[in-house]
Amino acid sequence: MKISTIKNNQNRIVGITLWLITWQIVYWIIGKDIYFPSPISVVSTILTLVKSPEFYVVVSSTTIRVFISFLISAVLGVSLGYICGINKKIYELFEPMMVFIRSTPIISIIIIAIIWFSSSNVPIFTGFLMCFPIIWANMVEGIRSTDKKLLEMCHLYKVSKIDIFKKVYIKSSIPYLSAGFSSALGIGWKVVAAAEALSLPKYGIGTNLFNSKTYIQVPELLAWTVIIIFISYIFEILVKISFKKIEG
Amino acid sequence: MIKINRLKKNYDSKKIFNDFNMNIEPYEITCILGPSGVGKTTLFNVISGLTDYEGGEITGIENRNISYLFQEPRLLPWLTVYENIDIVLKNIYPEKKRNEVITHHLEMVGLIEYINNKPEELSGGMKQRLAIARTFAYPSSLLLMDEPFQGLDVKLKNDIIGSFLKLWEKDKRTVLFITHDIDEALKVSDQIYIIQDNPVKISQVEHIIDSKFSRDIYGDDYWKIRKRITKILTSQL
Repeated sequence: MKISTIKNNQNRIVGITLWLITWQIVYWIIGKDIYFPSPISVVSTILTLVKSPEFYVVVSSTTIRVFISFLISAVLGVSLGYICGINKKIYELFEPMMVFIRSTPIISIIIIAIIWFSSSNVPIFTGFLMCFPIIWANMVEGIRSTDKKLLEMCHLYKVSKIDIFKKVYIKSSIPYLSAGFSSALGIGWKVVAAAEALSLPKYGIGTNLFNSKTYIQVPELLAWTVIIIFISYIFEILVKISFKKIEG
Repeated sequence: MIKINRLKKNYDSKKIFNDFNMNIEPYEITCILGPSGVGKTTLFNVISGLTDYEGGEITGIENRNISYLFQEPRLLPWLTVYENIDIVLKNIYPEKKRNEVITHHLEMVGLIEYINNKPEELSGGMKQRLAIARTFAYPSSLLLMDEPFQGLDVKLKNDIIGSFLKLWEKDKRTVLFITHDIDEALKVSDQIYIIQDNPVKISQVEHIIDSKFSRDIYGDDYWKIRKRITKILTSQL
């Protein structure tokens, strides 16, 4: 087990190194920092950004927005997903709305949200609309995949509804919820940053991405992108660890 | 006594039970023996309330707690051995009493060492023994068993039947046992109802408890009864 983990990590490090080398080679071929900066200049931009106190305000503002939109999506997605998973009629009531939300282009949602909400709430609303259907669909799938024979056993032995919810439905939905939470969180970061870039709240990674584009500061643009990827990755790891703990 | 009077049960247009009558004696193991697909599990479902029936009545099960032993152990894989029994007792006993009951039954089936293990860490036979412990830990007066020894090898089957009978001797309950296996029926039951289908009818009742039958598989009595039952079952085919 340990040997395979070390080998996996080694493979990852080799993979990342190879991509960084490719990036550097492409940079040498293009030869213009303004179009395609080198990994070194992106790293040095990140180091400069990290030193400024505003960096932490920007990062925490976006993180809070992602967190709020994700939390609302998780609470509503899990509870509504549970109800829809056990009741087909309620599922059929909500399913068209979910299809509608999933099919609506993100840009339309962001523009509508800009009209409806203040600039700092637009990313939260957009993030929620993107994350919620994912968590809902995974929860429905998890509930439906629950072993009917186990449910029958619980029903016959008059196990309490709370225990059936906690110890049967939720536990058997964990693989689905884990996948749903991970992908919702990944999408949440992208969508919140995109919504920030269009709604331009005072502090936000998306706002900084937009400013970098406006002033054609490509190293900064890539630096913020790398920062989003990094924080999103950390969050994904945290979600996976939490689910492993819940699984016991 | 549990009485099934003029039970009617249809699946679509097919009559499974039509005026079916049967008595289940208290504190005895009553077996329903019949070929696969005859309607044994339907009867199990009707008695347990999982399926509705069109007519007739079942008396003697009102307000009774029923425990169940299924073909498969039906254990929650994420709970420990202890928790798998605890979940069905939570609404019945306080924690201290639950602890006593669970420990006692796990000792009886030889699983006390595995109290904190998960079902995936147990063998197939151990899982079924855990299911038996759960069945007896639950304070029921009627126990329904739907082919719980099916698919086990001979040695394992004997072990598990042994565990079951050991618990039953200590804590006698009314048992309805459904099987298509003649040897299982002869080893476990006090009386055997042999049934045939279209719709379900009782062909014969073997009162094992009344005979001087020793359940010794090498004895003459065993083979006499076995031969008689085999004849009835094969004549139905």
